[in-house]
Amino acid sequence: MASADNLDDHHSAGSFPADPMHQFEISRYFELNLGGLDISFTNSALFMVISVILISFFSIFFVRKQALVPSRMQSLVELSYEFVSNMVRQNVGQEGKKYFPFIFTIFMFVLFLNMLGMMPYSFTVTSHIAVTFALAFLIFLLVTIVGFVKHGFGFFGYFAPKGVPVFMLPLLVVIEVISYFTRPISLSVRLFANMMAGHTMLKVFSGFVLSLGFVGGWLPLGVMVAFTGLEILIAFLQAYVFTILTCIYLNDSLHMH
Amino acid sequence: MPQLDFTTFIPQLFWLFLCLSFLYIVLSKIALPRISDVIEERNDTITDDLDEAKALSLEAEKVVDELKSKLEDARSSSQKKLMDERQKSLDIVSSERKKFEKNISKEISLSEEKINKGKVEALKEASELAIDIAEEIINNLYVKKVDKKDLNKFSKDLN
Repeated sequence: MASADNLDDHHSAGSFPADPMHQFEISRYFELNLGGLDISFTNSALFMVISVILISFFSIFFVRKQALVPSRMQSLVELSYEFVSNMVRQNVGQEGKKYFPFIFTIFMFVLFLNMLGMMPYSFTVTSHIAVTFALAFLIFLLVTIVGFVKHGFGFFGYFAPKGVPVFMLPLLVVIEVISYFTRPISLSVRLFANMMAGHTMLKVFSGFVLSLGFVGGWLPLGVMVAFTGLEILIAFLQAYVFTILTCIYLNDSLHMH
Repeated sequence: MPQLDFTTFIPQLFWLFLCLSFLYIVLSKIALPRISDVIEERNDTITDDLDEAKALSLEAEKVVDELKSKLEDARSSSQKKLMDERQKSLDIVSSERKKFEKNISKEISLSEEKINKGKVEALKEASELAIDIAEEIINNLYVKKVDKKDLNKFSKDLN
């Protein structure tokens, strides 16, 4: 892999054993071009494809119809289904059923990208603001469209909550508009920053292990092990937070305030 | 920071769009309907089984109740039979005893009669013997002959 060569370069450059930001670098495997558009197959694309294949494989081939008592893998799939389905039901209600496949897709995709990132030598797709912002913006767009389709121009009423004194309205409308339009930013930055910070931290500690060597490296190694556990938790938690916020935004669009 | 390298944005976004659309289609058209079918089917089976189990347990309860009432009947009938038999045997015993007592009293009165008869005869014989003896004695003592008629009269007076 190209990244291994780069790692060696950094060693020889030698101020720090491993550049903590190096893991986020995009490397192109195949240069591709579609009508002037650069669509090269990169490590990011590779891990997206891997996660799509894994999710499809898990959710199709591990589910057997006649199984009254599901296998372990099938229970895992059913558990994810029930988990997201409960999330949608509790946060959006019956009307959310229509959007369940989309929300399930978002959850599984983000979850798998986060978890795949926890494997050594892998690449964390969600540590790139471009990807997380695109996801968040897609959700923002969809939720806004749903709001306008459901309420027509009445959806603008979302920015002027009922029961507010008239003299407060100008200020409140401004606040509501800003908070509405910063949603994709907060949604994407939360995921991206969490993933990037965690992975950077892990890399920094692994650098300490290397530079302190056999004598002093044990302490940072211990910290790293503990931190890896925490990162796995965060990988799940951020996928959950991302999805539940999607549900909440969708609920706002469907039911206003 | 590699995240701010804008030249990598387009390929990332292209593949993101491709992967996400593909995944959405696969999940919404194939995987999710199957999973929901499986879960629903299982829930149906479970509720069916539970209903069946409930019906069976009701039936079992009914059978147990029937059995209990039968047992109760059998117990009371056997109690009754026992009482009847006891009464019967008691009756037999008392009738036997009555018969026996009747026989015994008959025997007793018969023997008493016999004894009385014997006693009277014995007494009569004894008095006759006494008279005979007295006659002999007196005949031997007296020179003069004693008339038997006088002695009979004497004995009657004695008595």
